[in-house]
Amino acid sequence: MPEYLVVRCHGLATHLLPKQVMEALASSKNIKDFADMLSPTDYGGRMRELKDVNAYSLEQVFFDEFIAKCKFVAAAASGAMQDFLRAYFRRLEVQALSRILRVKMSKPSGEIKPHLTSMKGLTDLRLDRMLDAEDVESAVELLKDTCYSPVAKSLDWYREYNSMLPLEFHLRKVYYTMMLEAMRNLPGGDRERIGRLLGIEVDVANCFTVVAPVLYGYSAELSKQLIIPHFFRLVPSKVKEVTEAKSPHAVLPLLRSYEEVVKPLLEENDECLGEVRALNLILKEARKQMLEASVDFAYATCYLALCEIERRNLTLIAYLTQQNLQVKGYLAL
Amino acid sequence: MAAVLGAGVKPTRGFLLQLKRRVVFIEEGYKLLELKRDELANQLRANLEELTAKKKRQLEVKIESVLRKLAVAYASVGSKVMSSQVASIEGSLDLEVLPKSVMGIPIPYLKIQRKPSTADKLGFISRSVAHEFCRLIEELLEVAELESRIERIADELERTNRKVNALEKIVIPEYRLVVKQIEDRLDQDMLEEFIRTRFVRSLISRKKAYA
Repeated sequence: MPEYLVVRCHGLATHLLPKQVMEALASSKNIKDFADMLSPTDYGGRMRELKDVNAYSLEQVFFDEFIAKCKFVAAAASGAMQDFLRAYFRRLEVQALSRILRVKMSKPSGEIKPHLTSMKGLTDLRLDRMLDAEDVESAVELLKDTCYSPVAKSLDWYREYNSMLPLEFHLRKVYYTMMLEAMRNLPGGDRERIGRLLGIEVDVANCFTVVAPVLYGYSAELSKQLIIPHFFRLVPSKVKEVTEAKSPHAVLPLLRSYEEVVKPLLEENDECLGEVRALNLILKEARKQMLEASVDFAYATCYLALCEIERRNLTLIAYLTQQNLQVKGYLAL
Repeated sequence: MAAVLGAGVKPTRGFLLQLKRRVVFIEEGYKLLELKRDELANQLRANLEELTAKKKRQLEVKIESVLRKLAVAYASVGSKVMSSQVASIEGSLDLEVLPKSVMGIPIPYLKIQRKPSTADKLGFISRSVAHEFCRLIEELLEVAELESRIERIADELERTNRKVNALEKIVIPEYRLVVKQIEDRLDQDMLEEFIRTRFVRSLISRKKAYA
């Protein structure tokens, strides 16, 4: 029964920072001012423990707070919902795995340890073992007995292009496949609502993937390989057609359903703005569903999506405030 | 300007001929240097126009915009993701500075040996910034090459100008003066010789008359 979880999420949702507060934070004069404004919120507790307040330490605080919220929601769920949330939180695993694999290409991986530490309890994957792997191939070998074992199939692509993208996107494909499977056990209404929310996420990822050959000279063959084979509002044949596009003008008619997301990429080469527009779509959809399904499990998923966007917004404000740069225009509100 | 016949200057007809030949040679050199100066001035003007055109493309604004995009991208994905993305870029920018001769002036010419490969490597957000940075660096290299070329040409123009002025105002007039002084001296010598001959001739004719 989702009632307990949904009621808890209703309570937690009141702690989400409203648009006005986010705008006020975005107008902070400096990082100290920003931290002072945040201190009466849920983030205040962790921030008081900081010795040095800067964008880097605040980024860790926002991440830890987000993980704490995820853990809280996961603990309040049961049955099929718990299984779904377990699959949903694998997105954090996928992000961590991508980072680990990337640093395995060159650098020592000490920098990402704090992130992995705070994820304990939310993931059953031994990420610390991955950190000790000698190289990418041995790190992928360690995934053999996990749900990510199919990723090993992309090692040939990794070798051919000397790129981490095939492995990263295979991780994503595995993730979304697991999510869709976990969704099957949810009630019909929830399945449809969560599907719509995740559909935007996957569609946007595919839009960003397929424009790479025409905008950045990526290989069309590789880009086709990176497409996540789940589509919501996009037409699969048109998506593949974009990878063969000869000019940016040919792209827009093929991705018409995400015009507002793709336009900044094609016209201003501004992927951040594209991402903001995509997050706004997710935000709009999540808010709509929270109103429509206020007593269903979908409410909890939408709440988690909002938490993730809030974390992204706060991290963005922290870094840009530290650099004395304008934040407005890049916030998903 | 008073040129004095120096120690090496011999007031002889042979030396005068040698000196005249040297003056002709210097004057030819002067004309060539003048041509070089004009050509260098043309080159400088053309390069300055090219630089102005490049700067008109608002390079500074572009740099600012790309740096801003980097800051936004960094803030958007966070430090951990960005540093892991950067870690996966292989290679660095390797340049070779080759000498190229423009009218005998060695000018540095930049040749990109190897560029860090970002295509097919980076994920969303960071790839667009990396792409713009690569393009910006190429533009900056072009401007650096052009500025260096302008600097070298301007230096050479200044040197050539000084040489032309020195030849025009000092060397050639001095040589001409020396030639004139030698000619005067030779004329004087000839006149002396003529008068001496006439005097001797009159002495001889007077002696013949008394005898």
